[in-house]
Amino acid sequence: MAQSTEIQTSTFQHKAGLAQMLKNGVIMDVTTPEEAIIAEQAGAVAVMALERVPSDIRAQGGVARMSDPAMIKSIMEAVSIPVMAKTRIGHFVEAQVLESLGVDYIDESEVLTVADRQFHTDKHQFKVPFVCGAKNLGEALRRIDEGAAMIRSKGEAGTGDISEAVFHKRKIQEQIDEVLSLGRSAKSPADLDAKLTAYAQELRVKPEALKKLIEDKGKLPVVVFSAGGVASPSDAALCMQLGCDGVFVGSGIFKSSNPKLLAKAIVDAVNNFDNPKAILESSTGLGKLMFGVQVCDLKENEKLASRGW
Amino acid sequence: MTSDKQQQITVGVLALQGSFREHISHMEKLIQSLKHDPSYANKLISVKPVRTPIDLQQIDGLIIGGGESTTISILLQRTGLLKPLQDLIQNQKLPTWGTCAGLILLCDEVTNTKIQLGDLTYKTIGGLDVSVERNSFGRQLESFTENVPCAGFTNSALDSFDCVFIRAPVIKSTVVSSGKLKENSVRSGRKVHAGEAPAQVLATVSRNGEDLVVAVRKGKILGTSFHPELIENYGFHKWFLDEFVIRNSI
Repeated sequence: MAQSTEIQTSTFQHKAGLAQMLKNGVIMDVTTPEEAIIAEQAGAVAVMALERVPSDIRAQGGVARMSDPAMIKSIMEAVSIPVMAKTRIGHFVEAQVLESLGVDYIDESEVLTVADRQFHTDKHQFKVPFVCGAKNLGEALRRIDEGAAMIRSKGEAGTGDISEAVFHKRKIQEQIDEVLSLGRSAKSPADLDAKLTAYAQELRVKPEALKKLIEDKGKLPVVVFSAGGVASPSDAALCMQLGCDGVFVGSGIFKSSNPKLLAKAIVDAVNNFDNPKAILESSTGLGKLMFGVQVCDLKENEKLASRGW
Repeated sequence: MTSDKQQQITVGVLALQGSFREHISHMEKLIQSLKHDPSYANKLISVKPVRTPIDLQQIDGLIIGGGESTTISILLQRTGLLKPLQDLIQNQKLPTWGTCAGLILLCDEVTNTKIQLGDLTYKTIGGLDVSVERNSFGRQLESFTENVPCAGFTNSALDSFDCVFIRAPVIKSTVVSSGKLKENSVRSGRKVHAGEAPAQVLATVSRNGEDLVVAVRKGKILGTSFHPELIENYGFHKWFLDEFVIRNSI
């Protein structure tokens, strides 16, 4: 019988590794232990504990902060799956508090009010892993450079409109393809360096990050989920067919008329994302979905995705 | 190049939720590395994802990866995979390896878990008559990597391995009693046949003077608390292929 030595903790591998375990899964926003249990029983791979779902934050306004730790703790005690919680962008003290509380993942989120208009949290300083939003490849690579171990799209939270999440996912892929095509078309190593440096400047990232992307055949070093505006089984399957590793569902579930049924239906749709007959079954008889707001009806300053850069 | 003399060996990877792409990618790299190895010249090894009962046809081994065991338990039941897998693994002795959540799903008793999952209950495939505790080391902040010696149980095929533990389970007992269940626990209900050899402890990690069991085997079933699919090295996959799948088919 073998016995072991040498222990490492909280490395990038552990942080990114937990996100890998969540792949092909659904992460649901919940505001109470009861909702968390409904999510777990429906097959969610994790829950996001927060006081107000994005659509309420949108409707009520005011400053949106980290949730009450007591409320987050009650959710941690209620379920056996990982629990995530949100901090404001750049609010590293909220992150310190959540790390002390022992949450499994922190979402540095544009859904809350921005705390630092210049810097995002230096996530390398933390043992707890972070997920961050990104609208494009530049944003994704900057967040990864700051230590994020998971990326999600930054679709318009609280709208029930999937268009922005789709736009971000397509944008990230288009820009990855552009990097790969630069790699293929370069006439010499010096030519490649020059092209990557120019494109890196455009994306506001380090050229090394683009080189690494070419070496890894276009695969980002972290898992990419879809988030923002997922309100139906078809929305979730759409994100999966576009190549997302999994889906966050915010306001969609608990703003619908039958959360239990919809939560289960979205889990099923992610599992059967490439099987239209199964999605048909999941989509049938769900009652009223979240009413929602069209993103094109929002004024620029009402868009949450513009928070963070 | 195929010929009639080549022996087909297909390893399935349960592809419902979690780290199944990582396992498939490791198997593909392994298969590639064996292409020019003369000792595998008469074998045509392949890997395929398993998502429905039809995918179970003609597999010679199965890997169940990491993920959330609650989610996978639900999906096993909804996809109709649970029963055929129970038959394949328990009765037909399909070589099977579970990592982390996969290990939990192969155990006959699970503690520290949820029992009610909506209209379903938490069910495991079973086959390993051991009791496993979910999230036994604690939450994510307690995740760790530890170099575990493997020479003893792999017959020196592997010297040691960097084992990645993420919210990992621990095998608390290699005996499943028929007594009263503890709170928040479930049993597979599998009948242990008379004369069945008990599960064999392969590896432990030491915490506060206690040896915690993190790898077990019972016949053709292998269970590890850790995730060999998360590190670059596919040595553990090779050992599973050689020791469990190929030796079985000889």
